[in-house]
Amino acid sequence: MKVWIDQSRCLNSRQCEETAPRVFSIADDGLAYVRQNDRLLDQPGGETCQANVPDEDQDAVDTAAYECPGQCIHVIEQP
Amino acid sequence: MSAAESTDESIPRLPFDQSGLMELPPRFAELRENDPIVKILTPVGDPAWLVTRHEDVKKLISDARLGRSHFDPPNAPRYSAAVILGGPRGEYETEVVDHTKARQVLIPSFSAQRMRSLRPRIQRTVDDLLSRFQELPQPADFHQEIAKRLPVFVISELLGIPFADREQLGTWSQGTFHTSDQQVAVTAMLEMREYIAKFIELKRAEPADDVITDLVLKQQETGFPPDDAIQTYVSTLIIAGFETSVSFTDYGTLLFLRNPDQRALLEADPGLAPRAVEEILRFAPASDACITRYAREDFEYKGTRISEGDLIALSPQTANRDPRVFREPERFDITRNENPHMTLAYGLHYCIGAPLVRVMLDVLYQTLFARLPELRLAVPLDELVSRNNVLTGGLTSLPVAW
Repeated sequence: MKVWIDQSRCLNSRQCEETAPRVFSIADDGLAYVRQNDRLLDQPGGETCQANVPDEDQDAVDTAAYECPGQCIHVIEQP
Repeated sequence: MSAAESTDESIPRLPFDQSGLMELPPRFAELRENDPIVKILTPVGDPAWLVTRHEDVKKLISDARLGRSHFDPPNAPRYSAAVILGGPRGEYETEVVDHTKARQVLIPSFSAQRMRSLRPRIQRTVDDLLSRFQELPQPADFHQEIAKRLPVFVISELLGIPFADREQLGTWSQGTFHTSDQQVAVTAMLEMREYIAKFIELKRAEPADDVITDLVLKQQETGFPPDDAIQTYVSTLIIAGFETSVSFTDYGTLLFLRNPDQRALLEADPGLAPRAVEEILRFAPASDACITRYAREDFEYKGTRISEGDLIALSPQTANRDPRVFREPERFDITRNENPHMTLAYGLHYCIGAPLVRVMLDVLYQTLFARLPELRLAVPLDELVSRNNVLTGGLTSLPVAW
């Protein structure tokens, strides 16, 4: 599973960070970013920054994507 | 004691007695601890389920089994006489689709990115308001001069409404919240919709960088939203934004004036402002009003049988002081690291204006005490009066000196 965030729709609710803190972070600019291997993928963020989601975080990422107030978390299921 | 309580002691009736301006009525905390999902009577005497724990408010606020509409609107239980928040809203059959479409089209106009680009304009507005305020004879009324103006100015700027009309919109918005006179609210709503309709035409002819233009362009591109939907969105945004933000601005300032230690922390480190804003949102007793929902099906929740059409009143304020989630919940503490308050709701119902209210309060509290370091309350606390006939609460006046 991969995941990315459409920041043009982020409402800065911080819900994704609460729900799946290993995969999402709110940076100092108030926007949500994805993380991979403990590193923020913020160059530049958005569709070009897709993080691999570890198996143990996949349920939390699905929940975060479903509940996201901006509906801006995009999950890519891989076969 | 209210009439309903005297006839039936077992069912609590809202509003509960308040012990002080800054406190949530103690009955809410009692129920949260002993009876977290309880049958109550609303301020107009209709039955409802009152939900007070953080976990339950968070779960139910965006639960797909609940909605804002009702299958039988005229006979639906009501929370209050207020036109907008008092009873069911929207079409029962299409509510979920309508809500999704509305958010889909509105979110880019309200995103955190968009609000950040508005920040310089908000800073200029705050600076102008404070400059004018400083020239007034003391004491002056912070509520009238700043709290009632700033949110109206900022939201109007975002929507794209000219300066001259802003005061009128503030008056309509306050009118729609009237809980004691239904006719005042209905008239205010109709006049506001008419005003917005004229504006849609104007933006069509002269597009600008604002929300109404965004929606008009979207309509030209995709055929959606139609004019009447734009009227509904824009009026809802004005109503939901204006009065609630006035309350937060009043209470935020009062909280700092009443908690000098927290004010000193902010003055020493303005970088604490974003956390302070979250704490104001959590703690401000902006009102004891509940977020209301109607059950869309029969279901059981934690042992309580809820029937289709039942009214459910969620109390974000009581959830915000739930000791299961917040350490020392009754303390105003601007250094809280995690602050998952329910003031802006949750999930697919999360407040679309959240980035806006955050930027607005952040700019205000980074600026206010730097500009007016001697700012102080000019009357004893017990002389302040809350706006009881307005659903969103707030103060009738906040006299200050500096």
